[in-house]
Amino acid sequence: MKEQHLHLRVGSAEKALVRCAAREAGISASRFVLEAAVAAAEEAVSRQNRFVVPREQWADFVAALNEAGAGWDPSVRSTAEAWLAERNGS
Amino acid sequence: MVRDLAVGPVPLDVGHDVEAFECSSKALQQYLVRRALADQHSRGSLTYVLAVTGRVIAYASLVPGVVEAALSRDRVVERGRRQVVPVVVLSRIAVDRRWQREGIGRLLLAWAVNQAAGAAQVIGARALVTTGLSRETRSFLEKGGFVPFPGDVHRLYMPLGVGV
Repeated sequence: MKEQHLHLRVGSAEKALVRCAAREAGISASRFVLEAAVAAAEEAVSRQNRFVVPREQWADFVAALNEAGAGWDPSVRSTAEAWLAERNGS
Repeated sequence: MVRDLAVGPVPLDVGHDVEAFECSSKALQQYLVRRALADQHSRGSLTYVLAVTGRVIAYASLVPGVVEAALSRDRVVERGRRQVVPVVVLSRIAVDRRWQREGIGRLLLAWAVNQAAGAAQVIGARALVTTGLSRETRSFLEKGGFVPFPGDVHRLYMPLGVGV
């Protein structure tokens, strides 16, 4: 359900270019812009490897890390080990 | 079926067929097709794949990373004693849409967590951080033991403590 708006200012040459490309792709200019923007955003978010924790949450984050193995689901590991053993054995 | 897989995840190489890979995220699809092999060679990111007769049906990419505390307003005082935690980052994980609902994502995730836990013990990383672009992916990751990352709705993490 798309019910949010994102307004952006564009130059006439840019708008003409986008419209031309959207027509070629057989979709609306708005959908063309959205699809391209989402793919670029997904890539930028995926590429990140430096993460910043808000100061007020830092102590809790470090405490969670210090609880050895917290959040670790042993069944996940045993599944992986069983799978790898099966792979290696076959 | 999972048993069609001859071997577990292997490093992506030039012999793998990536062109036909399709998944719901355009970015994850394009990364494998266009970028993953170049990153593999430059060590920008290491990608591991599951392949059937050379064709990639699922992949996962791992990179080192850091988690930092946000700077307070008093930046000068803080510089030099900034808190930084080394982590392993599962930057991408994707299954070809024709191979979904076979448990492959779960197995690849379990494998990646296992690899990260091993790497963490060797180099001292404290957690595995990953990205869930969609609600479905985040739910999948939470079932695999990840918890929401503080202050970032698209991120999840898993402590890789001493007990691992």
